[in-house]
Amino acid sequence: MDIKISGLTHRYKAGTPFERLALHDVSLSISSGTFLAVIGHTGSGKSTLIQHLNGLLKPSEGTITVGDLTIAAGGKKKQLKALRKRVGIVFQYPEHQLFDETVEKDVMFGPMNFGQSEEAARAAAHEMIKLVGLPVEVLQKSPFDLSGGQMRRVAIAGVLAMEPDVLILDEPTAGLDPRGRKEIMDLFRTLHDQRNMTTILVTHSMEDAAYYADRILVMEKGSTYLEGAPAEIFAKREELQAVGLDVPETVQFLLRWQEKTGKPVQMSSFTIEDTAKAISADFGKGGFTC
Amino acid sequence: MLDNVIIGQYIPGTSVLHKMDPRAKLLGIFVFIFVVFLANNWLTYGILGVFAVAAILLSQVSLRYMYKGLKPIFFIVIFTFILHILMTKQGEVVYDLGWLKIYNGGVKQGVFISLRLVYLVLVTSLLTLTTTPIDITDGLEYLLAPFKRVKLPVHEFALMMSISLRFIPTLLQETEKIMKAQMARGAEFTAGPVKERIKAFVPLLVPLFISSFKRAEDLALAMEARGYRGGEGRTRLRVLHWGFRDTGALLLLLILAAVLIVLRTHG
Repeated sequence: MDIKISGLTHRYKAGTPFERLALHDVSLSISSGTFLAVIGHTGSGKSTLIQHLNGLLKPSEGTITVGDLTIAAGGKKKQLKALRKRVGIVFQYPEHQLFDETVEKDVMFGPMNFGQSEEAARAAAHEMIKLVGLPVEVLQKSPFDLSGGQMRRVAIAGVLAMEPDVLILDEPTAGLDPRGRKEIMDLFRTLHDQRNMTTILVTHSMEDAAYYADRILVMEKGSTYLEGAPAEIFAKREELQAVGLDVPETVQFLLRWQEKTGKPVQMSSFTIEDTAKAISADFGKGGFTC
Repeated sequence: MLDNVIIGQYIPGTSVLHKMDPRAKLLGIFVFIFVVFLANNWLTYGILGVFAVAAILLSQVSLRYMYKGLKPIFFIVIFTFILHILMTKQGEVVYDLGWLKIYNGGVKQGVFISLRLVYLVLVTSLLTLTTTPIDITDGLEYLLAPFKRVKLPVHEFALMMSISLRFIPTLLQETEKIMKAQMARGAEFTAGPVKERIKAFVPLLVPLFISSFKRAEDLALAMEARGYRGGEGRTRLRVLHWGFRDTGALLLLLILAAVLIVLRTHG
């Protein structure tokens, strides 16, 4: 589902001594099926931007178009529900949103709000719980008896069960252990590919952005700063450092390598394997394998 | 949608009211609450109004902001007004619907009581708008200190109060966050029949309770880890200073009270 944002401006607490301009004239288009990573310093407007995409915040100026729905400043309320059905958000620490007696009921909450029958919602709950890597038995447990990592997965299942066309992830792996992070991120990438979704990932991890995303948007002080494919973005190290960001560790490594050996290497390697390949070329025929 | 609640909100500033000793402000509010009840005619209510507006101007908090903060209580004000119009049967009939007679005494009484409410809310919210929660608690602790003799746990009260005040904004933020998360899952908090709306609050309240308990536990742990063991022998980082300005403000209030006593309608 294509997303188009034009001239979006947002002011928090307009008309109070605490008024703050959070977004300033942001224009952006995201074509259907893109995996977009949004990176930027804390307070750069990332979270504000994504909350506009499903109508949780309304634009002070400008418009947002998702598919054939348009949200403008002072728009109607009717459209919001349709928009929210299409656009699912996994918030930071999504386990804080769990409330129901059983995991099953909690996962069914979303689909039933959007008018699905109980059977359909139950079926979705079963499917999604398996998809996020939990055993079916947890469905009958209280979500509050689960571990932190499991609660996170249940909450994610609750959003996925609505079967959104656009999935927004606001730092979905914050506070997880390294293995949990990788599993969850792999899950999102697989889902993205299998279900032909449009995915928007807000993250502080350059590595995740480089590895999982097709495109990267860099935000700074409420405006778009850079936008492009990972290889383009991470070729601009100075520009990133100017706004408190940096290139992924693999690229940092390659840059140092290049400095030491004096030989140019391929910079757009964002996995350990690719990085190893890039430098192994330097060893010529010498038996360097990994 | 929760941005409008200004009770418990502190606006940093350097006005006279900001600089006043919190004890003076607390005493002042206490006296003012009684003074408000002295007014009983147009003149005395007018004087009180001038006083309240002057206090707001002195605080340098914008009038528009105060007005926004009043909005949530408008319902109560209007309700009181209507109740008085309907219930008070004094003076002449100004409007006659046959089954319903409105007396001018009722209108007058309605206006007065509504004004009284507005004044009280305005002046008391000025206290929190110009005083940090820590100052308020320190002030209260000093003022209540005599009650320690009768085994009143004054320090604990003060601590409880400062913790609750401190967490009002946090709780509001948390509420908004969870509300958004549930709205993203299709929950509706503002539409539908009342019964549905009450039910819609379960997905909001349960997570709020859980995170509040968790936060309380964390806070208790953090306090213990830093060696907190109650008020016994505890010294202060910041000592309160009572100045001329504070004595002056209280004197001004007493003069106001005296003026109102003279000007109010007797008998």
